[in-house]
Amino acid sequence: MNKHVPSTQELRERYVKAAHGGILSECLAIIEQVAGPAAVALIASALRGPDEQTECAQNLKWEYTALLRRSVGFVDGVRDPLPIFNSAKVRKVVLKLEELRDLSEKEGGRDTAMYHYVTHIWGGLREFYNFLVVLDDRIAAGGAQ
Amino acid sequence: MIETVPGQEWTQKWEQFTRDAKYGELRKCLTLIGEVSGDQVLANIVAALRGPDVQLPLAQLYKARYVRRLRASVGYIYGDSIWPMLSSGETVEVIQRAMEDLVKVKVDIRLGIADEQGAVAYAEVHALSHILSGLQAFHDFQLRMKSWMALEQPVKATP
Repeated sequence: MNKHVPSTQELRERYVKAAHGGILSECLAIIEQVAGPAAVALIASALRGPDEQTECAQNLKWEYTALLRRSVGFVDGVRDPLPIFNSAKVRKVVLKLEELRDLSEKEGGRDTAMYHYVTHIWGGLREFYNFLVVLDDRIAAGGAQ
Repeated sequence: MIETVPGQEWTQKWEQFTRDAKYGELRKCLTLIGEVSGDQVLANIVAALRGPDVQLPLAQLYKARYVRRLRASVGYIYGDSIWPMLSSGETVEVIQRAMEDLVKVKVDIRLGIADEQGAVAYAEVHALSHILSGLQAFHDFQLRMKSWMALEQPVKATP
């Protein structure tokens, strides 16, 4: 008997369902399947908010970390934003973070807590973006996973 | 004759887990942790895998002492010389040490020994709190594995 190989569309739907359901392990497993183990490591490293407890850092947490958390099934509470599975929208966030990273480097250098945080969240969201793009491309090509 | 539970499923899973950790199979390790302890425990572990944001020597010492140990224990790194925490007792020792560091930072804040505005110290508290949550979550996983493996050990000896 042939084993059913899920199509990329089915895989994407499974992913979205797992993220909405807060099933982190399932989301990470699908990310690894599609984008590889390095993507999982970078995303895992980005899931903690900034250590700095300033208002500025905490605002960044709700803008970026919460978004990534929610989009990979890491449910953190009622203040979480809605997840984003649209690669174009995630790309915009990644680009905003690149600007923020450059600004942070210019203002404080690389040995600052802010630069460290922004670098990690940028890396995590960039990997998440890559994952979505691979899914989109495969679905557009109409192939199986 | 000694009767054992057939298959010894959890013992085999634990052995596979330690191999996966050694060879940097992060996702495989995380999947088993999620399966055994649930996704909230898993979330605490992944949130602890980043080192402290503060780039000062003390915070980096915490990274070397705790974050790298946790990373090595769940397959985050490839070929690192840091030892993984293979037993729950070992993890408890690391937890106790991290707790002592956390208490010290908190006392420094209370006594005003920490930096003027406390910003660095509070960041250290945040980092250490995450590290501790991660270590305790990993300990939870180890204990569950241990108890399930114990059920598979020889249950009785008959003449």
